[in-house]
Amino acid sequence: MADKIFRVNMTDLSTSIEDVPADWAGHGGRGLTSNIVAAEVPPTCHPLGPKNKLVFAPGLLSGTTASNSGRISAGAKSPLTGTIKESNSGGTSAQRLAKIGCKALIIEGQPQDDSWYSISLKPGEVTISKEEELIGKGNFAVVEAAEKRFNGKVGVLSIGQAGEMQMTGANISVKDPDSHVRSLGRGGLGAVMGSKKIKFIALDAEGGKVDIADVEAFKAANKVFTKALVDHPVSQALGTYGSNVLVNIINEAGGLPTKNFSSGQFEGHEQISGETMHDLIVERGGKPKHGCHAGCVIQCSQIYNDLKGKYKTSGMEYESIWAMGADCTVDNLDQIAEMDSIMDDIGIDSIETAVAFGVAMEAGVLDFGDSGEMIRIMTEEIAKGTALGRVIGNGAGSVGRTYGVTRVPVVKNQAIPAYDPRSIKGIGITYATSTQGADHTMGYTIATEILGVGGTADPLSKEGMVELSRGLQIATAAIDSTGMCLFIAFAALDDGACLPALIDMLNARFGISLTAEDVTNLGMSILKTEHAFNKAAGFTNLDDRLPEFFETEPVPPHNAVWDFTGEEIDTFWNF
Amino acid sequence: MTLVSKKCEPQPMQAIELIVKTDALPRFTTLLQSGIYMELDQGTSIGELLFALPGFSEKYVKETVQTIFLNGLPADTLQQKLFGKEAVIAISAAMPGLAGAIFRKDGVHASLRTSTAAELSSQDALETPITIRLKLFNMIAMDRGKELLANTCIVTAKSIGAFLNYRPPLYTAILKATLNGERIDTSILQEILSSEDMLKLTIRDK
Ligand code: SF4
Repeated sequence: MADKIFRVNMTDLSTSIEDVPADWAGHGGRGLTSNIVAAEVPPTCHPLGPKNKLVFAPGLLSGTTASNSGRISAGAKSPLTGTIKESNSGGTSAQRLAKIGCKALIIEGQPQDDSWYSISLKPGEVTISKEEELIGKGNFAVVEAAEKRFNGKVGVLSIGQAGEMQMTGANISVKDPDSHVRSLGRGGLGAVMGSKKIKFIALDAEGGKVDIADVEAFKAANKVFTKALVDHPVSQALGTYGSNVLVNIINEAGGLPTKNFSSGQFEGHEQISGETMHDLIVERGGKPKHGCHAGCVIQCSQIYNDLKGKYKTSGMEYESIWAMGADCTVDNLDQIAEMDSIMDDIGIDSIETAVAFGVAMEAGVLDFGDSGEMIRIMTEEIAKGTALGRVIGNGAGSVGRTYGVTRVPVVKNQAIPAYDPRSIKGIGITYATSTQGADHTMGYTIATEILGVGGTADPLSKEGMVELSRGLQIATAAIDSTGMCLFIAFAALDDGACLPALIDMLNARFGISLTAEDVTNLGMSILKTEHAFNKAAGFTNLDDRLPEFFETEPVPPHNAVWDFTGEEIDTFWNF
Repeated sequence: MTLVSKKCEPQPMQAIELIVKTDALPRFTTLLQSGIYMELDQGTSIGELLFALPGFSEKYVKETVQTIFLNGLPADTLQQKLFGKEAVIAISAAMPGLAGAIFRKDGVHASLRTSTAAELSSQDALETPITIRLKLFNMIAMDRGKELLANTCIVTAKSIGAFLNYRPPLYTAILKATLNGERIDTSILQEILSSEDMLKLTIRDK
C-alpha cells in the first residue's frame, strides 16, 4: 500500500487523501513535519489562527519491526515560541499511522463556530465527527472513551483541558500500549489542536501494513542494530533507572538547576534520584523497566505505583522529575508522580509548567517546595482556566512577564530543561541556537565522526564547541526523521555497526541506497529549512541568546557564568 | 579495604550491623549514593583507591566505571592523585544523554564541558591522611554494593537515617540489628541514626 498524505480541512470540514509529492517522499518524522509546515504555513501567521497547520508524521521506519522505531512527530508553528516546532513521542500512534498508510496527517483551517470534533483514520479513510461528550474532559477519560467507541487497539492522539483552552504549555497526548499516555510535550502543540477544535484523533490500523522492499536485508540489518542497542551499557542503566539516573550525576556536576536556576545543586537530590525511584518502584510492585511502544528494546520507561501499590503514573523522565523536583525544590517522588499524573490528564507539558511554577515561586505566588499548592493550582486553576491557571499554563515566560521576574529560564520563550548551561556550556550552545527554543533533545550525542559532522576547529575552543553543537543538531535532525528514539544514540556512538545498520534498514525499507553522507545532508537541509522559516517569521540572530542572568549570576557551587559572545554563537549558522 | 592509611588514628566510632532479608539486600545498596568515607595516604591515585575496593577488578573499573567526578568536576584519568584534607569522588557506569557523553571519562564530547577536574597539587599534601567521600551511582552500587556493605563501610549516621526514613518498608526487611555487637530493636535505630556522627556500617543477608 503506497503511503498517502491525509488532509483534513476544519474550515469546511472536508477531507482528502493525496499522493505524496516527490519533494516529501524521502522525508519522515521531523523532516516531513518541518518541510510541510515550511511549505504550507505562512511564517508570520498567528499560531492559533486558521492559517497554521498541525502535521503528524510517523518516522521513516515506524510501523516496521525495527527496534525503537515507534516515535511520532507533530509539527506546526508554535504558539509558545513563534518558531517552527517539532515535538516527538512514543506511544502507539506512529505505528498505527504507518500501518494505515498515512505518511502525514495535515490538519488545516479552523471551524467557524464553537463546535468540537474528533477525527478518525483507517486505511484509505479519514472521517470528521462532531464531539460533545468528551469536551472539558481530561486525557484519561478521552482515551478510555475512544477505546470503547472504536476498539481497544485504536491509537489515540488527544488534548486535555489545557489544549481546549489553548494554553501555550498544552501538549498532545499519545496513547501508549497500556492505554496510559505519553506526550508530544513541548511547544504548545496541544493549543494548536485546540484552536482547530479537535479533541481527539483515533487511528484504527486494522487491515493495514507496512511494505518492506527487501525483507531479508531489513531483518539482517535490524538484527545487527538491535544487538548494538541491547549490548550497550547505557541501555542497562536506562532499563534499570530510566533517564532519571541523571539526577545524581548532574547534581554532582553542579549542573542541576535548583530553586529556579539559583543554584546548581539540590539538597534533596537523593530523594528524587533514579536509584531511589527504582527502589520505590520495586518495593511497590511497579515496573522499573517498561517500553513506551512495542518494539522498544531499551525500555527506559517505568510504571510507578503509589504507596498502596496502585498505578499512579508511567514514563517519568529525568527532565520532568528535575523540573518538579530540584527546580521547585520538591524532594518527594510520590508528590512528583502525583503532579506528573495530573499534568498528563490536563494535557500540559511537565517541563514548561514545572519551570513556570519555579518562576512563580520566585515571584512569591507560592512557596518553594510547596507541592500541595502546586497540585491545587494544577487541578483548581490550570484545569479550570482561572486567571492564575492561564498565567502558569502559558509557560515560564508568561509567569515572568506577569510578575516582573528577571530570572526567567527560557530561550525563544521555551523553558530551559534540566541542565544548567553555565555548568555544561556545550548544552547552552544548543539551547541558544536550536530552531525550536531551549530543548535538550535538539543536539543529541550522535556519532558525529561517522556522519562526518564533528567539525574541524579545535574542539576545546569556543569555535570548536559551536561547531560540534551544530554537528550534533544536524545528526539529531536526521535521526528525528527515522522514527527512532534518541536513546539509540549511545549505541550509535560506541558501536561502529549500529548507525550503518540503521541506514541499511532505511535502504531495505524503501529499496533505495542512502549513504551516511545523504543522512547528513538530510539533517542539514532540515535545520536550514527550519531556520529559514524562523527568519521569515521575524526571528534574527539576536533571538539565539540565553537570558541575561546566565551571564551575570554565577551558579554555585562552581560559580560558572555563561560567557559566549553573540558573535561566537552566530558562527553556528555558517554552513 | 586494604588501602586505608596506616597513619590514621582509629576513631571511636559506633558499629552497626544489619542482617536483612536476601531479597531486600539490593535495595540497601542505594544508600551508597550518599557516599562512604575512607582515609587514605596522600598521593593515592583514584585508580588505586578503586582497585582496592571489594569486587572492583581492573577490568570492571576500566570497562564499567565510565564516569568519574573529582570534587564536582569530571575527571578523565584513574592516575589522578589525591592530595589535601578531603576530596569527594563520585563514580558511575555509562550515563545517558548528551550530558552523559560530555562527562564520560575521555568521552568524544568532553570538549563541551565547562571545566574538567585539574590535577590536584602535591603541594597541598598534608602530614595527615586525606579523607575521601566516595559516592557510587547508577549500576555500580547495584553491581558491587552488596560486597562493599558486607565488608563494613564508614558512613554518616544521618545519611542512613534519611535513607531508611524515606523507605519505611525497609525497616521490616531488617531481621537483626546490632550496635557495637549488642542486639538492638530496630525501633531505636532511628534515634541512633539522627546524629551527624560517622559510624561503621555492615549490611548482609546472613
Ligand atoms: S528507550 Fe524509552 S523513550 Fe525510547 S522508545 Fe524505549 S521507552 Fe520509549
